[in-house]
Amino acid sequence: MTDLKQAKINEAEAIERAKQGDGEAFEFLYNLHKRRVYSLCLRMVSNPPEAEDLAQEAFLQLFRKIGQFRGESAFSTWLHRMTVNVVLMKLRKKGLNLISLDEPVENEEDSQKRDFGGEDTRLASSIDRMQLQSAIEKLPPGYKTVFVLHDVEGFEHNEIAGMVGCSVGNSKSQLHKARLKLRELLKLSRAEKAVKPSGARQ
Amino acid sequence: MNCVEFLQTLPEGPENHGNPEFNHHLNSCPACEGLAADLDLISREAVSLAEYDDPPPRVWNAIALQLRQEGLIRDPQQQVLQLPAKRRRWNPFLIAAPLAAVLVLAGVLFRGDLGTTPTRPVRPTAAAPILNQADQQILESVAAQTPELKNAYKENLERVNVYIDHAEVALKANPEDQAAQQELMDAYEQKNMVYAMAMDRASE
Repeated sequence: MTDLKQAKINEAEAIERAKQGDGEAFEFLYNLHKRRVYSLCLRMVSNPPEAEDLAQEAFLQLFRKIGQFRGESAFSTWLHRMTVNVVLMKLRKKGLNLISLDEPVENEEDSQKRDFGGEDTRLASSIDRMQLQSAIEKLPPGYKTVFVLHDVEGFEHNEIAGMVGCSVGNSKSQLHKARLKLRELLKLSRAEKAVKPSGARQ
Repeated sequence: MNCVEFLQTLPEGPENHGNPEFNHHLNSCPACEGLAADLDLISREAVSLAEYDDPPPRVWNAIALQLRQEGLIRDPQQQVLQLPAKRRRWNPFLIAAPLAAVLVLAGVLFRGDLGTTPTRPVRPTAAAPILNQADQQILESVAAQTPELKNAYKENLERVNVYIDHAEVALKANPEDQAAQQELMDAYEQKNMVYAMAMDRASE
């Protein structure tokens, strides 16, 4: 790494050197993108060892195809799309539905109905990160995928539609349902938290 | 717009902000306003989760190992050696270079321990390779620095030892076979490469 660090090489130069088989250039590119790629995998699968395997696979796929990179799109965009595809492929292999239109929506509707006229149904003005993270992990795979890609990673609906293989409308619908489900889970968590201390004293 | 219509348009997200009916209902219905505010809050808080974690070093180590095995990472030395096979004429002394490199690398690492140990013991069968003392020592050095990589290096050394065994057997059977000569040279080069990587790892 030292040569590349000292030379303050940029990404484009590193890509060209990696195409020639330069190990330091590969390492430079890895270091430049490893955190985002690994974190994306981690959020999608919620399992560190599995996320490590997926990050490794994403980088390997990228490096094997680096000779085909012509720079028409940003390298990071190319890499992140590849990462998402690796993760989605893994989820598909596990037999998980990435688009879950058939997820039970009764809870969503019920909770919406219950909200009307109810008291103290709103979430607090801020959400505890741990609670939110925990709630995301409980989401059905289809909701989770779209929510993480859109709200956490910042992908647009048309990009998600392309990666997941659904329509833009479908992506929007999944995202909305994911948020509703999260709201329900967060409220449930808040209610459990409120009940626990008294339950513990009994 | 009533509550049901409001809920049907809510998934459209920011596009709704230009819809006067949507905005009117949002401002006049506390329940819908509460729901929309909660969903907006969830969306905003989710951005904070985009903090990035570092993957453990073993991820890069595994990637680098794989890239080298696939020949995507080429050392300058290897690039020179990777001339077209037809141009390379067999000379038994050519094996000496990669073999010597392996010995020197091991020697540097183990401060001359190699002088008392055979570099490659006679193995009972090629199918059940064993590691020689130099291999074992380099594995211990790797394990001392990055224990999680020991097995990966062990597998690689075993694999390359099998490769060398096969190449030696093939060359003994037909000493004039250029392909067999090339195989043996490649096998030693691979072992050289694994040793170099292991030494890099051990000296980190």
